[in-house]
Amino acid sequence: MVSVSKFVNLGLTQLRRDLAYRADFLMSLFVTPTILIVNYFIWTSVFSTGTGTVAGMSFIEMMTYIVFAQLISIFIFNSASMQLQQKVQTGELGQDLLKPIHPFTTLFASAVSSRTVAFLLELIPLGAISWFLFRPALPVNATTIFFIVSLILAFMLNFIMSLIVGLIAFWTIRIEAFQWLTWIVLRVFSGEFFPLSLFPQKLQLISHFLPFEYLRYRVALIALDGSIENALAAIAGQLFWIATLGFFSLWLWNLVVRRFTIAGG
Amino acid sequence: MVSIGFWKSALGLNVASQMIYRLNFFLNVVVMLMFNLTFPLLTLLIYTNSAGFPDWSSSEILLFQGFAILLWGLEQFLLSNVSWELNRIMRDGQFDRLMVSPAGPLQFLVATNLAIEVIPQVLLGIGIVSFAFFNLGVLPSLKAWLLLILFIALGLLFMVSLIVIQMSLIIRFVQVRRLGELVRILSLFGQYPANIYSKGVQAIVVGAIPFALVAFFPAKVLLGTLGEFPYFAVAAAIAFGVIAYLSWSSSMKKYTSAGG
Repeated sequence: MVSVSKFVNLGLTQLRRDLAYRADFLMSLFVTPTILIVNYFIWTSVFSTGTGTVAGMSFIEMMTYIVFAQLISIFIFNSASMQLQQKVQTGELGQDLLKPIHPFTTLFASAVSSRTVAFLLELIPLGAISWFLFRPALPVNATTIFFIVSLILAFMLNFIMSLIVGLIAFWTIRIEAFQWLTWIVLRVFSGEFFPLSLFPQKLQLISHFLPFEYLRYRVALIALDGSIENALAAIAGQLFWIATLGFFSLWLWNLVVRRFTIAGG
Repeated sequence: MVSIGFWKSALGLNVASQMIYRLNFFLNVVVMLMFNLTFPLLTLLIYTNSAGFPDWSSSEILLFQGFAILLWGLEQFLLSNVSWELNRIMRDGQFDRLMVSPAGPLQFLVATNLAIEVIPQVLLGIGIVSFAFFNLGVLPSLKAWLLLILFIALGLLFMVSLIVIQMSLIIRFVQVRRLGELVRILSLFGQYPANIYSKGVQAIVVGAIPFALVAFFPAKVLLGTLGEFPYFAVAAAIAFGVIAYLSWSSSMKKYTSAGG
């Protein structure tokens, strides 16, 4: 069992690494506001044609959705798959296996640390630009606490998915393309760029049976629609996928460690 | 002067090395297509769920998106892998090796890192433009065709210049991983017609950072709705070309090894 202090130390180490490249770190402050500004013009233009609602959403609801989708994206991001791939390619994993801390714990601490600072820093420009552009009605209601819980679960689910993608490196060595593919599918089918209600009915139905919508779309809807039933259903779905994919990632890890040992080092 | 043989050998080596990891290569093709179709997909969804953008019918917006896919594809074919590779070799300290290459670092990097996985995207762009063009049934004049060639050339010059400036900054500051992401994000402004933006933003995407040359003006000139000649956009594209040339030359002069 890893103590809290070790976990905190791992997180602080990652933070120091991030801050070593300040310009790179600060650049991320411009990325999310730019996405928001482009979306603002797209939807202002679409709604200017007299369209009252698009996919059941008014202009303010659409923009609030996009703000929340971006906020969730900032919060749940991690680079675990990339880090795992590098560890496999460079053989660093061999050293990690000798350490008393599980590599998943190290990666998780690194992800938590980088998100804590990034979330706080990027939240400010995102909030300021949103307020300046369209004064969103902050949906503080009975489901706010469910939203926070769901946000944390989305972070965990995304982390587990990244681990699974990273573990595939053991079989293919080069997984850049696979990573990009899953990255795009994840972003589109989780509703990062637009709400899934824009999709045709059949595609929406398929997405209900996949874990992706529990990363962003269902989380953002908790904040938007204020329905406790929907919030509980979203959280139940997230817990189901965390358990299922969590077990799968551990099973995959055991396979990988066995393969790694056989390959020598 | 480096011979055509150099480019042929570099391209041959590039194809051969990509074919070692065939699955990765074919996945890359799919990825590039999917990545570049994300925003056209949003446009398609907008048009199926609403009246779309003012002054743009669905066939017209398809022509616009076709040009965007085609020109971004051409730019990515030339330079998308180059900035990644430059980032890598700068961190590893291997850039010094390229300084003594007879081809020069930039030409060597471009020739050895052409993104052949983007070729299907270029073909898709050509296909969409052709489909939308014949569907619209427009008959552009000779002047319109000449202007189209000019806008495409300048649009490409502008985009290539952006990447060269980005590469110059990588050489200066070594670790600017997210600079490429920032350039890609800014390019979002070129993925949609310039007339959807406010007057201030329009002035920027037309006259200062001319993303409008990528798809907006090419589509407008073929549709016969160009209006006034975009002098500011043309001047801005040329200015970007000059800045890219100067910044690359300056970074070459000031380059000091990052070690290795």
